[in-house]
Amino acid sequence: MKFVVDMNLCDGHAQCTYLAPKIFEVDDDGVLTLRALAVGSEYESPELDQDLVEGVRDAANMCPVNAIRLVD
Amino acid sequence: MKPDQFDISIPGVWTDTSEFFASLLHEEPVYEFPDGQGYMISRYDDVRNAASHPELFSNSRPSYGGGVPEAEAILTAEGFPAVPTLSNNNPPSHVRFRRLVARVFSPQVVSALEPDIREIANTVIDDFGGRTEVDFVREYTDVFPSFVMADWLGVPRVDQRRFKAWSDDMIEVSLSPSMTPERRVECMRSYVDFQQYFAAIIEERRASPREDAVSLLVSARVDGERPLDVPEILELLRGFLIAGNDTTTNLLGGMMLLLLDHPEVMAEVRSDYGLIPALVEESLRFISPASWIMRTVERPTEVGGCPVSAGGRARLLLAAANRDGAQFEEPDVFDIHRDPTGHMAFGHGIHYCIGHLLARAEARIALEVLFDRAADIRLAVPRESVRQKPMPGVYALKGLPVLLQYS
Repeated sequence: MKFVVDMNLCDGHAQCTYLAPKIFEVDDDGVLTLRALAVGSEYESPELDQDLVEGVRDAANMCPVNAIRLVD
Repeated sequence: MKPDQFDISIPGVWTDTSEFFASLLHEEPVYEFPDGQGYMISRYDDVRNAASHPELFSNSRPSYGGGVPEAEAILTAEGFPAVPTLSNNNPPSHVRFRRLVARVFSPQVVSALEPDIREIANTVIDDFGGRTEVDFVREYTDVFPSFVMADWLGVPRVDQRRFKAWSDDMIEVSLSPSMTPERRVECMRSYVDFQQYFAAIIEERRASPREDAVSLLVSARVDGERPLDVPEILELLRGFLIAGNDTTTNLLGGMMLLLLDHPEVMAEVRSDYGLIPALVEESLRFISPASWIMRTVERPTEVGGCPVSAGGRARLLLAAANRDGAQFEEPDVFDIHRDPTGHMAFGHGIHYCIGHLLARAEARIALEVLFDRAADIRLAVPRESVRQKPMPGVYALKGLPVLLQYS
Protein backbone atom coordinates (compact mmCIF):
# COMPACT_ATOMS: atom_id res chain seq x y z
CA MET A 1 0.00 0.00 0.00
CA LYS A 2 1.21 3.49 -0.91
CA PHE A 3 -0.37 6.91 -0.84
CA VAL A 4 -0.44 9.84 -3.24
CA VAL A 5 -0.87 13.53 -2.41
CA ASP A 6 -2.22 15.84 -5.11
CA MET A 7 -0.25 19.03 -4.52
CA ASN A 8 -2.70 21.03 -6.66
CA LEU A 9 -5.34 20.26 -4.04
CA CYS A 10 -3.24 20.37 -0.86
CA ASP A 11 -3.80 23.70 0.85
CA GLY A 12 -1.90 23.07 4.08
CA HIS A 13 -4.83 22.54 6.47
CA ALA A 14 -2.54 20.11 8.31
CA GLN A 15 -5.30 17.81 9.53
CA CYS A 16 -3.09 14.91 8.37
CA THR A 17 -0.24 15.96 10.64
CA TYR A 18 -2.35 15.03 13.67
CA LEU A 19 -3.53 11.72 12.23
CA ALA A 20 -0.26 10.38 10.85
CA PRO A 21 2.43 12.56 12.42
CA LYS A 22 5.20 10.14 11.42
CA ILE A 23 4.44 10.86 7.80
CA PHE A 24 2.90 14.29 7.42
CA GLU A 25 4.51 17.46 8.61
CA VAL A 26 4.13 21.10 7.70
CA ASP A 27 6.90 23.67 7.85
CA ASP A 28 6.68 27.04 9.60
CA ASP A 29 4.92 28.51 6.57
CA GLY A 30 2.23 25.84 6.70
CA VAL A 31 3.53 24.03 3.63
CA LEU A 32 3.45 20.23 3.59
CA THR A 33 7.08 19.13 3.68
CA LEU A 34 6.33 16.31 1.22
CA ARG A 35 5.71 19.02 -1.39
CA ALA A 36 9.48 19.31 -1.87
CA LEU A 37 9.53 15.65 -2.92
CA ALA A 38 6.65 15.88 -5.38
CA VAL A 39 7.17 15.02 -9.01
CA GLY A 40 5.03 17.36 -11.08
CA SER A 41 1.89 18.00 -9.05
CA GLU A 42 1.95 14.68 -7.19
CA TYR A 43 3.86 13.11 -4.39
CA GLU A 44 3.86 9.30 -4.40
CA SER A 45 5.05 7.55 -1.26
CA PRO A 46 7.21 4.44 -1.05
CA GLU A 47 5.47 1.22 0.09
CA LEU A 48 4.00 1.89 3.56
CA ASP A 49 4.82 -0.15 6.64
CA GLN A 50 1.66 -1.94 7.76
CA ASP A 51 1.51 -0.07 11.08
CA LEU A 52 1.30 3.27 9.26
CA VAL A 53 -1.54 2.37 6.89
CA GLU A 54 -4.36 3.07 9.35
CA GLY A 55 -3.13 6.60 10.12
CA VAL A 56 -2.75 7.43 6.44
CA ARG A 57 -6.23 6.05 5.76
CA ASP A 58 -7.60 8.35 8.49
CA ALA A 59 -5.71 11.27 6.99
CA ALA A 60 -7.09 10.49 3.53
CA ASN A 61 -10.65 10.24 4.89
CA MET A 62 -10.39 13.49 6.78
CA CYS A 63 -8.41 15.71 4.46
CA PRO A 64 -10.73 18.68 3.96
CA VAL A 65 -9.81 18.96 0.29
CA ASN A 66 -9.44 15.23 -0.48
CA ALA A 67 -5.83 15.65 -1.55
CA ILE A 68 -4.66 12.27 -0.20
CA ARG A 69 -5.51 8.86 -1.64
CA LEU A 70 -4.32 5.35 -0.92
CA VAL A 71 -3.17 3.20 -3.82
CA ASP A 72 -2.36 -0.52 -3.93
CA MET B 1 -10.66 56.54 7.92
CA LYS B 2 -8.70 54.84 10.70
CA PRO B 3 -10.28 51.87 12.51
CA ASP B 4 -10.45 53.98 15.71
CA GLN B 5 -12.84 56.37 14.01
CA PHE B 6 -15.54 53.73 13.58
CA ASP B 7 -17.89 53.50 16.53
CA ILE B 8 -18.43 49.77 16.77
CA SER B 9 -21.05 50.21 19.48
CA ILE B 10 -23.52 51.56 16.93
CA PRO B 11 -25.42 49.10 14.72
CA GLY B 12 -24.61 51.09 11.55
CA VAL B 13 -21.06 49.74 11.43
CA TRP B 14 -22.40 46.19 11.37
CA THR B 15 -25.12 46.74 8.77
CA ASP B 16 -22.39 47.51 6.26
CA THR B 17 -18.99 46.30 7.34
CA SER B 18 -17.18 46.88 4.06
CA GLU B 19 -15.61 50.23 5.02
CA PHE B 20 -14.68 49.13 8.52
CA PHE B 21 -13.05 45.89 7.32
CA ALA B 22 -11.25 47.72 4.50
CA SER B 23 -9.95 50.25 7.01
CA LEU B 24 -8.63 47.45 9.24
CA LEU B 25 -6.97 45.69 6.31
CA HIS B 26 -5.34 48.79 4.86
CA GLU B 27 -4.71 50.96 7.92
CA GLU B 28 -4.12 48.61 10.87
CA PRO B 29 -4.05 44.97 9.82
CA VAL B 30 -3.31 43.96 13.40
CA TYR B 31 -5.71 46.14 15.35
CA GLU B 32 -6.09 46.11 19.12
CA PHE B 33 -9.38 47.37 20.54
CA PRO B 34 -8.72 50.18 23.01
CA ASP B 35 -11.01 48.64 25.67
CA GLY B 36 -9.27 45.29 26.01
CA GLN B 37 -11.70 43.45 23.75
CA GLY B 38 -8.82 41.88 21.90
CA TYR B 39 -7.47 41.96 18.37
CA MET B 40 -8.71 42.08 14.78
CA ILE B 41 -6.30 40.38 12.34
CA SER B 42 -7.02 41.14 8.69
CA ARG B 43 -4.27 40.27 6.23
CA TYR B 44 -4.61 37.01 4.30
CA ASP B 45 -1.16 35.72 5.29
CA ASP B 46 -1.59 36.66 8.95
CA VAL B 47 -5.05 35.08 9.20
CA ARG B 48 -3.86 31.94 7.49
CA ASN B 49 -0.79 31.72 9.66
CA ALA B 50 -2.74 32.21 12.91
CA ALA B 51 -5.33 29.62 11.83
CA SER B 52 -2.48 27.20 11.10
CA HIS B 53 -1.11 27.44 14.65
CA PRO B 54 -3.73 26.18 17.11
CA GLU B 55 -1.03 25.93 19.77
CA LEU B 56 -0.66 29.73 19.62
CA PHE B 57 -4.21 30.70 18.64
CA SER B 58 -6.45 28.23 20.42
CA ASN B 59 -10.17 27.55 20.38
CA SER B 60 -10.61 27.70 24.15
CA ARG B 61 -13.94 29.41 24.78
CA PRO B 62 -15.93 30.96 27.58
CA SER B 63 -18.82 28.79 28.82
CA TYR B 64 -22.20 28.73 27.14
CA GLY B 65 -23.95 30.35 30.12
CA GLY B 66 -21.86 33.50 29.64
CA GLY B 67 -21.34 33.90 33.38
CA VAL B 68 -25.05 34.49 34.15
CA PRO B 69 -25.60 32.34 37.29
CA GLU B 70 -29.32 31.76 36.67
CA ALA B 71 -28.60 30.53 33.13
CA GLU B 72 -25.79 28.26 34.36
CA ALA B 73 -28.10 26.88 37.06
CA ILE B 74 -30.75 25.87 34.51
CA LEU B 75 -28.18 23.90 32.56
CA THR B 76 -26.85 22.19 35.70
CA ALA B 77 -30.30 21.28 37.01
CA GLU B 78 -32.12 20.25 33.86
CA GLY B 79 -29.65 19.90 31.02
CA PHE B 80 -26.43 18.17 30.07
CA PRO B 81 -23.03 19.73 30.75
CA ALA B 82 -21.19 21.63 28.02
CA VAL B 83 -18.07 19.74 26.97
CA PRO B 84 -15.30 20.59 24.50
CA THR B 85 -15.71 18.81 21.15
CA LEU B 86 -14.82 20.49 17.84
CA SER B 87 -14.96 24.25 17.46
CA ASN B 88 -14.49 24.78 21.21
CA ASN B 89 -11.61 22.34 21.50
CA ASN B 90 -7.89 21.97 20.78
CA PRO B 91 -5.51 19.16 19.84
CA PRO B 92 -5.00 16.44 20.89
CA SER B 93 -8.61 16.00 22.09
CA HIS B 94 -10.00 17.80 19.02
CA VAL B 95 -8.51 15.13 16.77
CA ARG B 96 -10.64 12.39 18.34
CA PHE B 97 -13.87 14.28 17.60
CA ARG B 98 -12.81 15.24 14.11
CA ARG B 99 -12.18 11.55 13.34
CA LEU B 100 -15.50 10.47 14.79
CA VAL B 101 -17.49 13.20 13.07
CA ALA B 102 -15.83 13.21 9.63
CA ARG B 103 -18.15 10.48 8.38
CA VAL B 104 -21.26 12.54 9.15
CA PHE B 105 -20.33 15.00 6.37
CA SER B 106 -18.26 12.77 4.09
CA PRO B 107 -18.40 13.07 0.28
CA GLN B 108 -20.46 9.84 0.17
CA VAL B 109 -22.99 11.18 2.68
CA VAL B 110 -23.36 14.49 0.87
CA SER B 111 -23.87 12.82 -2.54
CA ALA B 112 -26.47 10.53 -1.03
CA LEU B 113 -28.30 13.53 0.45
CA GLU B 114 -28.60 15.37 -2.86
CA PRO B 115 -32.03 14.04 -3.89
CA ASP B 116 -33.36 14.91 -0.45
CA ILE B 117 -31.87 18.42 -0.62
CA ARG B 118 -33.48 18.90 -4.03
CA GLU B 119 -36.84 17.74 -2.75
CA ILE B 120 -36.66 20.12 0.22
CA ALA B 121 -35.86 23.06 -2.07
CA ASN B 122 -38.87 22.18 -4.21
CA THR B 123 -41.13 21.84 -1.17
CA VAL B 124 -40.10 25.26 0.11
CA ILE B 125 -40.90 26.79 -3.29
CA ASP B 126 -44.25 24.93 -3.32
CA ASP B 127 -44.98 26.72 -0.04
CA PHE B 128 -44.81 30.08 -1.87
CA GLY B 129 -48.22 29.02 -3.16
CA GLY B 130 -47.63 30.58 -6.55
CA ARG B 131 -47.24 34.12 -5.13
CA THR B 132 -45.13 36.28 -7.43
CA GLU B 133 -43.66 38.43 -4.64
CA VAL B 134 -41.75 36.49 -1.99
CA ASP B 135 -39.04 37.34 0.47
CA PHE B 136 -36.15 35.24 -0.79
CA VAL B 137 -34.38 35.43 2.57
CA ARG B 138 -37.28 34.94 4.97
CA GLU B 139 -39.17 32.40 2.91
CA TYR B 140 -36.42 30.46 1.13
CA THR B 141 -32.92 30.74 2.54
CA ASP B 142 -34.03 31.07 6.16
CA VAL B 143 -35.79 27.74 6.17
CA PHE B 144 -34.10 25.61 3.52
CA PRO B 145 -30.75 24.88 5.27
CA SER B 146 -32.41 24.20 8.60
CA PHE B 147 -34.82 21.71 6.97
CA VAL B 148 -31.87 19.97 5.30
CA MET B 149 -30.02 19.74 8.60
CA ALA B 150 -33.13 18.66 10.52
CA ASP B 151 -33.81 15.88 8.00
CA TRP B 152 -30.24 14.64 8.15
CA LEU B 153 -30.29 14.67 11.96
CA GLY B 154 -33.50 12.64 11.90
CA VAL B 155 -35.96 15.27 13.16
CA PRO B 156 -39.49 14.55 11.92
CA ARG B 157 -40.87 17.28 9.65
CA VAL B 158 -43.57 18.21 12.17
CA ASP B 159 -40.88 19.30 14.64
CA GLN B 160 -38.78 21.27 12.19
CA ARG B 161 -40.11 24.72 13.11
CA ARG B 162 -39.12 24.03 16.72
CA PHE B 163 -35.74 22.94 15.48
CA LYS B 164 -35.34 26.22 13.61
CA ALA B 165 -36.22 28.23 16.75
CA TRP B 166 -33.60 26.35 18.82
CA SER B 167 -31.06 27.03 16.14
CA ASP B 168 -31.90 30.76 16.05
CA ASP B 169 -31.59 31.04 19.83
CA MET B 170 -28.20 29.31 19.85
CA ILE B 171 -26.92 31.58 17.13
CA GLU B 172 -28.05 34.62 19.06
CA VAL B 173 -26.10 33.41 22.11
CA SER B 174 -22.96 32.82 20.12
CA LEU B 175 -23.13 36.16 18.29
CA SER B 176 -24.41 38.49 20.98
CA PRO B 177 -22.07 38.29 23.96
CA SER B 178 -23.74 41.37 25.47
CA MET B 179 -27.33 40.02 25.51
CA THR B 180 -29.44 40.80 28.58
CA PRO B 181 -29.42 38.27 31.43
CA GLU B 182 -33.19 37.73 30.89
CA ARG B 183 -32.70 36.88 27.23
CA ARG B 184 -29.77 34.64 28.10
CA VAL B 185 -31.96 32.71 30.54
CA GLU B 186 -34.64 32.32 27.84
CA CYS B 187 -32.03 31.03 25.39
CA MET B 188 -30.72 28.61 28.01
CA ARG B 189 -34.23 27.20 28.50
CA SER B 190 -34.51 26.78 24.75
CA TYR B 191 -31.11 25.05 24.74
CA VAL B 192 -32.17 22.65 27.50
CA ASP B 193 -35.36 21.92 25.56
CA PHE B 194 -33.17 21.09 22.54
CA GLN B 195 -30.92 18.87 24.68
CA GLN B 196 -33.82 16.89 26.11
CA TYR B 197 -35.40 16.44 22.69
CA PHE B 198 -32.17 15.12 21.16
CA ALA B 199 -31.20 13.04 24.21
CA ALA B 200 -34.40 11.07 23.51
CA ILE B 201 -33.52 10.71 19.82
CA ILE B 202 -30.00 9.55 20.76
CA GLU B 203 -31.44 6.80 22.98
CA GLU B 204 -33.85 5.75 20.23
CA ARG B 205 -31.09 5.52 17.64
CA ARG B 206 -28.89 3.51 19.99
CA ALA B 207 -31.68 0.95 20.22
CA SER B 208 -32.63 1.03 16.53
CA PRO B 209 -30.25 2.86 14.20
CA ARG B 210 -31.52 4.53 11.02
CA GLU B 211 -29.87 6.23 8.08
CA ASP B 212 -29.24 9.56 9.74
CA ALA B 213 -26.53 11.63 11.39
CA VAL B 214 -27.45 10.82 14.98
CA SER B 215 -27.26 7.10 14.19
CA LEU B 216 -23.79 7.60 12.70
CA LEU B 217 -22.70 9.51 15.80
CA VAL B 218 -23.97 6.93 18.32
CA SER B 219 -22.29 4.13 16.40
CA ALA B 220 -19.04 6.01 15.65
CA ARG B 221 -16.01 4.04 16.86
CA VAL B 222 -12.31 4.65 16.55
CA ASP B 223 -10.23 1.66 17.62
CA GLY B 224 -9.35 1.62 21.28
CA GLU B 225 -11.32 4.78 22.07
CA ARG B 226 -14.65 5.00 23.84
CA PRO B 227 -17.72 5.94 21.79
CA LEU B 228 -19.29 9.39 22.03
CA ASP B 229 -21.48 9.94 25.07
CA VAL B 230 -24.72 11.93 25.25
CA PRO B 231 -23.25 15.32 26.32
CA GLU B 232 -20.62 15.03 23.59
CA ILE B 233 -23.19 14.27 20.91
CA LEU B 234 -25.42 17.12 22.09
CA GLU B 235 -22.52 19.54 21.93
CA LEU B 236 -21.67 18.35 18.42
CA LEU B 237 -25.27 18.84 17.34
CA ARG B 238 -25.25 22.35 18.78
CA GLY B 239 -22.16 23.00 16.68
CA PHE B 240 -23.86 21.68 13.52
CA LEU B 241 -26.82 23.98 14.09
CA ILE B 242 -24.77 27.10 14.77
CA ALA B 243 -22.21 26.50 12.06
CA GLY B 244 -24.50 24.95 9.48
CA ASN B 245 -27.84 26.71 9.42
CA ASP B 246 -27.33 30.43 9.56
CA THR B 247 -24.09 30.52 7.57
CA THR B 248 -25.70 28.68 4.65
CA THR B 249 -28.76 30.95 4.86
CA ASN B 250 -26.47 33.96 4.66
CA LEU B 251 -24.43 32.59 1.78
CA LEU B 252 -27.59 31.96 -0.24
CA GLY B 253 -29.06 35.39 0.47
CA GLY B 254 -25.81 37.15 -0.37
CA MET B 255 -25.34 35.10 -3.52
CA MET B 256 -28.84 35.98 -4.77
CA LEU B 257 -28.19 39.68 -4.10
CA LEU B 258 -24.94 39.44 -6.09
CA LEU B 259 -26.88 37.87 -8.97
CA LEU B 260 -29.52 40.61 -8.83
CA ASP B 261 -26.72 43.20 -8.84
CA HIS B 262 -25.04 41.45 -11.79
CA PRO B 263 -27.81 40.45 -14.23
CA GLU B 264 -25.23 39.43 -16.81
CA VAL B 265 -23.89 36.81 -14.38
CA MET B 266 -27.44 35.65 -13.62
CA ALA B 267 -28.06 35.14 -17.35
CA GLU B 268 -24.74 33.36 -17.77
CA VAL B 269 -25.22 30.81 -14.97
CA ARG B 270 -28.86 30.27 -15.94
CA SER B 271 -27.75 29.26 -19.42
CA ASP B 272 -25.00 26.99 -18.06
CA TYR B 273 -25.57 25.34 -14.67
CA GLY B 274 -22.01 24.03 -14.94
CA LEU B 275 -20.91 27.52 -13.87
CA ILE B 276 -22.81 27.39 -10.58
CA PRO B 277 -19.96 25.82 -8.57
CA ALA B 278 -17.64 28.65 -9.70
CA LEU B 279 -20.34 31.16 -8.76
CA VAL B 280 -20.63 29.55 -5.33
CA GLU B 281 -16.86 29.71 -4.72
CA GLU B 282 -16.56 33.34 -5.78
CA SER B 283 -19.63 34.21 -3.69
CA LEU B 284 -18.05 32.50 -0.69
CA ARG B 285 -14.92 34.59 -1.14
CA PHE B 286 -16.79 37.79 -1.83
CA ILE B 287 -19.41 37.50 0.94
CA SER B 288 -17.60 35.50 3.65
CA PRO B 289 -20.82 34.60 5.53
CA ALA B 290 -18.80 34.18 8.74
CA SER B 291 -16.86 37.44 8.99
CA TRP B 292 -14.35 36.09 11.47
CA ILE B 293 -13.31 33.16 13.59
CA MET B 294 -12.43 33.72 17.23
CA ARG B 295 -9.23 32.50 18.81
CA THR B 296 -7.52 32.88 22.21
CA VAL B 297 -3.87 33.91 22.24
CA GLU B 298 -2.14 31.19 24.25
CA ARG B 299 1.23 32.84 24.75
CA PRO B 300 2.86 36.12 23.79
CA THR B 301 3.67 36.10 20.10
CA GLU B 302 3.65 38.41 17.15
CA VAL B 303 1.49 38.78 14.09
CA GLY B 304 2.85 40.59 11.05
CA GLY B 305 5.50 42.18 13.26
CA CYS B 306 3.02 43.36 15.94
CA PRO B 307 3.14 41.89 19.43
CA VAL B 308 -0.04 40.26 20.77
CA SER B 309 -0.42 39.33 24.42
CA ALA B 310 -1.37 36.05 26.01
CA GLY B 311 -5.02 35.68 26.98
CA GLY B 312 -6.17 38.15 24.34
CA ARG B 313 -9.11 37.30 22.11
CA ALA B 314 -8.13 37.42 18.46
CA ARG B 315 -10.68 37.72 15.68
CA LEU B 316 -9.26 36.35 12.45
CA LEU B 317 -11.09 38.37 9.81
CA LEU B 318 -11.94 35.93 7.06
CA ALA B 319 -13.96 38.64 5.32
CA ALA B 320 -10.97 41.01 5.17
CA ALA B 321 -8.46 38.29 4.26
CA ASN B 322 -10.70 37.28 1.35
CA ARG B 323 -10.43 40.86 0.05
CA ASP B 324 -6.66 41.14 0.47
CA GLY B 325 -5.12 42.40 -2.78
CA ALA B 326 -1.85 40.66 -1.92
CA GLN B 327 -3.71 37.36 -2.39
CA PHE B 328 -6.52 38.12 -4.85
CA GLU B 329 -6.14 40.41 -7.84
CA GLU B 330 -8.73 43.20 -7.87
CA PRO B 331 -10.20 41.73 -4.69
CA ASP B 332 -13.30 43.93 -4.62
CA VAL B 333 -14.41 42.85 -8.08
CA PHE B 334 -16.96 40.02 -8.16
CA ASP B 335 -15.82 37.74 -10.97
CA ILE B 336 -17.01 34.15 -11.26
CA HIS B 337 -14.24 33.44 -13.78
CA ARG B 338 -11.40 34.15 -11.39
CA ASP B 339 -9.68 31.35 -9.47
CA PRO B 340 -10.62 31.98 -5.82
CA THR B 341 -8.84 28.81 -4.59
CA GLY B 342 -7.47 29.30 -1.13
CA HIS B 343 -10.26 31.64 -0.02
CA MET B 344 -10.92 31.37 3.67
CA ALA B 345 -14.70 31.54 3.85
CA PHE B 346 -14.67 28.10 5.53
CA GLY B 347 -11.71 29.00 7.73
CA HIS B 348 -8.35 27.34 7.45
CA GLY B 349 -6.42 24.57 9.17
CA ILE B 350 -7.64 21.92 11.57
CA HIS B 351 -10.97 23.67 12.21
CA TYR B 352 -11.74 24.07 8.50
CA CYS B 353 -15.52 23.78 8.23
CA ILE B 354 -16.37 20.08 8.54
CA GLY B 355 -19.64 20.62 6.65
CA HIS B 356 -18.22 22.50 3.67
CA LEU B 357 -19.31 19.86 1.15
CA LEU B 358 -22.86 19.98 2.44
CA ALA B 359 -22.89 23.79 2.34
CA ARG B 360 -21.55 23.81 -1.21
CA ALA B 361 -24.11 21.21 -2.32
CA GLU B 362 -26.96 23.14 -0.68
CA ALA B 363 -25.93 26.38 -2.36
CA ARG B 364 -25.67 24.76 -5.78
CA ILE B 365 -28.94 22.85 -5.52
CA ALA B 366 -30.86 25.80 -4.06
CA LEU B 367 -30.01 27.79 -7.18
CA GLU B 368 -30.56 24.98 -9.67
CA VAL B 369 -34.03 24.31 -8.29
CA LEU B 370 -34.94 27.99 -8.15
CA PHE B 371 -33.75 28.55 -11.73
CA ASP B 372 -35.80 25.53 -12.86
CA ARG B 373 -38.92 26.84 -11.18
CA ALA B 374 -38.65 30.57 -11.87
CA ALA B 375 -37.91 31.84 -15.37
CA ASP B 376 -37.25 35.35 -14.12
CA ILE B 377 -36.16 36.73 -10.76
CA ARG B 378 -35.88 40.42 -9.99
CA LEU B 379 -35.68 42.68 -7.00
CA ALA B 380 -39.11 43.81 -5.74
CA VAL B 381 -37.88 46.82 -3.76
CA PRO B 382 -35.42 49.67 -4.31
CA ARG B 383 -31.84 48.37 -4.02
CA GLU B 384 -30.98 50.73 -1.16
CA SER B 385 -33.70 49.24 1.04
CA VAL B 386 -31.93 45.86 1.11
CA ARG B 387 -30.08 45.90 4.43
CA GLN B 388 -27.95 43.66 6.57
CA LYS B 389 -28.82 42.72 10.12
CA PRO B 390 -26.65 44.64 12.62
CA MET B 391 -25.02 41.44 13.84
CA PRO B 392 -21.28 41.58 14.47
CA GLY B 393 -19.46 38.62 12.95
CA VAL B 394 -21.89 37.59 10.24
CA TYR B 395 -23.02 38.83 6.87
CA ALA B 396 -26.80 38.44 7.09
CA LEU B 397 -29.47 40.10 4.99
CA LYS B 398 -32.61 41.18 6.85
CA GLY B 399 -34.76 40.34 3.87
CA LEU B 400 -34.68 40.21 0.08
CA PRO B 401 -38.10 40.74 -1.54
CA VAL B 402 -38.07 39.43 -5.09
CA LEU B 403 -40.55 39.11 -7.95
CA LEU B 404 -40.73 35.65 -9.45
CA GLN B 405 -42.06 34.71 -12.82
CA TYR B 406 -42.75 30.99 -12.63
CA SER B 407 -41.77 28.68 -15.47
